[in-house]
Amino acid sequence: MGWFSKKKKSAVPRPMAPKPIRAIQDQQTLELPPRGSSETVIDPKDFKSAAGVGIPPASTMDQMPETQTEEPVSPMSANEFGSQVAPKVEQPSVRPETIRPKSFDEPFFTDINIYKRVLGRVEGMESEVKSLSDINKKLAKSEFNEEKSFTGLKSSIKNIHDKLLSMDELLFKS
Amino acid sequence: MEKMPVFVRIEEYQDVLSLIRTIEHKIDDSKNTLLKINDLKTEEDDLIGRWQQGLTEVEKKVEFINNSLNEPERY
Repeated sequence: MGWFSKKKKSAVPRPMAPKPIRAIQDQQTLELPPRGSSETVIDPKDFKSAAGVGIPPASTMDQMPETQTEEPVSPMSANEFGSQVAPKVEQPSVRPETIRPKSFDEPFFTDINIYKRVLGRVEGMESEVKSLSDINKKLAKSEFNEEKSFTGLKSSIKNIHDKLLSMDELLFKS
Repeated sequence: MEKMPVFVRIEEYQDVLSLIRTIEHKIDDSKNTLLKINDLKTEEDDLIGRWQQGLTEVEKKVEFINNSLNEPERY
């Protein structure tokens, strides 16, 4: 017997590669898997239990895991969350230094370095305002002296005017 | 270990912003007042200069009268 003799093929089916869907549609044939090969076969009597009919819903609710109520996530916690859980994403070189809220009701977050700088500026402003207040006191004193000098000047001029009138009167009298 | 950014929570920052606006308005007012004071000072310096000039004129006239009365032959 040679290799190419016309021997009748055995009845054992060869394992065939799955055909593409397009081919199945074209041929209009559908091959189902042999009965008993799958463990997911559901008998008609088990349909209800498989679909969940007849099981009280309370028991299913008890078995479900508790869902957490959503809380408003503050930017800080979101940042921490992102740094701990989220995969590392390449961040830009300039990170945000202030996180501005969308409305005035939400808190405002600023970088601690900026906060320190702001406090330093406020301190500097206080000393500047104090020095301006000292200058104001000196100016008030100077204005007071100027007013006093101006009053003396006015009385001197009035005195001169009176003397001139007297002199004029004396000269014309003679 | 990478340094984590630390943020400071500012609660009533709307009030802070309002105060900053008020301070800015006060600074503008102070600037305007300072400009007015500078104008007044310039005007005052001008008046004082004119006053000094008038006083010098009066002094000259008084001196002339004095000399006229004391030494009439010279005038």
